[in-house]
Amino acid sequence: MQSGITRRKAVGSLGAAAAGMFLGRPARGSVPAPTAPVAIGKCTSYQPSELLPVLEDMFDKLGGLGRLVKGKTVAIKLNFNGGSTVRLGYHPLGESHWPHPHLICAVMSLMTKAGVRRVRLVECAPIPWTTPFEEYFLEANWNVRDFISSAPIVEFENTNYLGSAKKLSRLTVPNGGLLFPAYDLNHSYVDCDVFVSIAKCKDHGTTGVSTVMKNQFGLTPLLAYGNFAGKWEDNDLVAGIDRIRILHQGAAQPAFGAPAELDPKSPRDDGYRVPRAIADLVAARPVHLAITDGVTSMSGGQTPNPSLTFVKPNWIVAGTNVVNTSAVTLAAMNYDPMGQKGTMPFNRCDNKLRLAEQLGVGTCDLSRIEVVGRSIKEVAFDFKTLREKRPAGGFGGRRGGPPDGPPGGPPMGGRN
Amino acid sequence: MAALSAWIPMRWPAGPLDISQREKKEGFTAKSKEVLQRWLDPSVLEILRGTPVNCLVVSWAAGLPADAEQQKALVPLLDRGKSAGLSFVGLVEGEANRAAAVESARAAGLAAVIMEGEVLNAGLPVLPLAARPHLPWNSSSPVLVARGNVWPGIASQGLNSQDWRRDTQASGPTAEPWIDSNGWFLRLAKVYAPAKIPWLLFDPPGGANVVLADAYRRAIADSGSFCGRWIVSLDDALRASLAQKEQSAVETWNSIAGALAFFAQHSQWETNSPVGLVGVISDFSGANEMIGTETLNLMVRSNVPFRIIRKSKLAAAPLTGYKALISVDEAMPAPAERRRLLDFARQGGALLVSQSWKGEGGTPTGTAHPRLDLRKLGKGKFAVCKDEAPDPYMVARDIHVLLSRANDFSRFFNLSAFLSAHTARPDGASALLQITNFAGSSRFSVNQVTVWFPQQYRAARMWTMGSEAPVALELEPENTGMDVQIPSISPYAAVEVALQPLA
Repeated sequence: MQSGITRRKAVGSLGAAAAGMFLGRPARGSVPAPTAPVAIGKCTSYQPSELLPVLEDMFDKLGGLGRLVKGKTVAIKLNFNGGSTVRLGYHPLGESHWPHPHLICAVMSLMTKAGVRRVRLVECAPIPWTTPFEEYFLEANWNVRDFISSAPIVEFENTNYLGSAKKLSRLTVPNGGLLFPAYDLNHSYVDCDVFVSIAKCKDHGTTGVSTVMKNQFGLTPLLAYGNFAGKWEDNDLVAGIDRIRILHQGAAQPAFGAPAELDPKSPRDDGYRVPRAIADLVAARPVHLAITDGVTSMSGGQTPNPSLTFVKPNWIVAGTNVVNTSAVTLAAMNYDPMGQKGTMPFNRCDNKLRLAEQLGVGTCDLSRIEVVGRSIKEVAFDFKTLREKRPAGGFGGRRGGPPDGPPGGPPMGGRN
Repeated sequence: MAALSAWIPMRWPAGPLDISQREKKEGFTAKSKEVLQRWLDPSVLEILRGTPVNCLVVSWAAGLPADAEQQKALVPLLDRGKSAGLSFVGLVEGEANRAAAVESARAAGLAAVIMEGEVLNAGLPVLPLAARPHLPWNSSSPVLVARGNVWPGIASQGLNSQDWRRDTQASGPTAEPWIDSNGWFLRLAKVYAPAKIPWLLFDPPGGANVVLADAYRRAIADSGSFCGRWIVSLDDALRASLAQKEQSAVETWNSIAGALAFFAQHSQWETNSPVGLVGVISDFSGANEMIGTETLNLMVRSNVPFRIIRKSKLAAAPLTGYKALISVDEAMPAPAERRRLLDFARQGGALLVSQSWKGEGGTPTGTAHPRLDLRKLGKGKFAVCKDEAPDPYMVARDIHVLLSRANDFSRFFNLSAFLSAHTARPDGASALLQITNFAGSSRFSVNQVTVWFPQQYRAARMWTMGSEAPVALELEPENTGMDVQIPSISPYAAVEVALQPLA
């Protein structure tokens, strides 16, 4: 029977409350911000034989994937941040700054086992619109066939552009938003039943850490929010490859008809703006399943450069509330998820988790979040100390030294 | 004296004729004049001791009053040089009386002359000179000399230099560095005259430009990687400093000589064959010269391995081994060749053709494209340019998409501005990837470069300029192929990979 409510309308009207759909909890008003269990799994490699049982156990502890994906179209937001041909040393991208392809394929396989109908892999890739998104995977040396064979129907969409739609889709921020009232995004962020964020856990200069919440920042298409939004290069390549001018600096307003910011007189400081944009986006486009890849990663930044450190935390964190999941991830990185501006890792920025909590997306108070599977203490990897040791006080610094492992442990320079 | 084909040439500007030619040009100073006079001194030849340079190209005649004075002034230099085993080649240019210039060169004991046109019964080898790509390929000379070349390096201005674009330079795919290279021409020369050695005549940037040792090494590598020889030419400042035996200049010169020695020692690589799944078909002449040669230039720049198919040889050229073909000459090939190319597409290949092919068949794919009418033809792809004069930059980019990166011969990581030449040994025992890194200062390390190959190679080793022996490289299995880990590329590395252990 037709309900009369389209998928688009449902997302737009439910807003942050939709984040609680899987939880059945309200998310507005004076009601405490939602909370849902977060699972931690210990995982020491990206071998499918290890990944699959670890992930399956984690999803079971969260209530099972079937409840979430059976018969559904799932969009998975990848975390293609930091360039497709840049490596941390010799490490393949999936070991340092992108989520590992085996982990993504394992999640897709488990979704298939749970009855998913279709998986759409989405990301804003800085390539021409005439270049199939799959080519970007190949450029990064990912095997496209692995993805195609991991679900019954697999689609690839570069969300920097319109795709099959005639215009961008507007997603309104519940409660009015912190930086923008609404964001214009590719249709794939609306035309899905379930939205999944898979991200690497990394340090991040602008917002403290980069995990499943920061991944949402990349929802914004360069078409509307890029440095030279509205301009084109070579006819089919949108100009500019990042969002510094519009979202970080507020030096210009979005193009392509996207809504202007709420208060043009608000601070132009990226430590103020970017966390608010992220909080807005996690509220406007609720995440149904958030997965942080912490099997291997890097410490000290989100884009590889020789001063960063390859690390091997050996864990995965997953949850159905993106703020909860982010909070547990931060704790597993030895950061305080409720930390104030001026404290590590939020040295020079507002805490995006707290901002999202204010928007009613989810709590970042660990005392209110049930952790299932391994405990935080059991898996914690000390990103904080590694960062404090950096000569530059957090970022950059040491060049050419051996990669670090956990304090007191062996070096982690080898590839796995 | 070495055989002509073994000559390693160097430009030796000195004397009245060079002064006469240069003094009318911008940037000529008293110091420039002093250097040109100083390099007439035979004692300067000492810098060549222990280097592979065995041939000096001197200005001989240009149809100017200074010609006779030049030839007289060069005598001491020629005498000393010849006694040291050097060969001298006279450069004859401009309005010079060619027959007279050849006769005087022969009388002065020059080993050859470089000049345009022919002189019957010259009595000494004449190395034909022409603007690329118009060399007399059928000449009997084993060496052909091309002018009109570029100084290899990152161009000071990109193809698109709008203000907004400049802001993004060195930051990603919207700011691909624009690298000037002569590689495409050397690839073409190898097809038109496989047994001949192309020499390239070009000078370093003049004026206030400071030319670093690595820039010279890149220039040598850009020629050497593609089987050509640059007639090494030093800038005024370096020549002045060398004449004064300044330590830094001597070090720069030693690194230049080391680079020349490297390619001389690896001349066997010139017998390798280019590999590539893309074929570029053209006659590279007349109305098709620009589109044909620029397509080659842009293919080199995009690091997509390709091979060249002369249109006149297309009927007999084997098309097995190709997965994509470009035929963007203005007019369609003859009917038989046209059918052959269409059959290539029907059997599963990708065919990108000029607008003149419009209406040749296939069914539209329905995929919107700003430049190509994308059609399906049999099992393959048939792409017809919408523009009468397609942009070669886009042709090179679009063919890579049509081919798909799934067919990549290699993938590069942590390199931001580079050119590569991919060849295979005639016996197929190993493949050679020569990489020239043009990034002088990259925000990414030029250390720890990875090249991924789809093959399950078991051995890899690397040569660098300045080291005699190769070093073994680490291989790591990755994505059904192999990662080869390269410690550094500054500014050149040759990586040999093989399925079996390398001898």
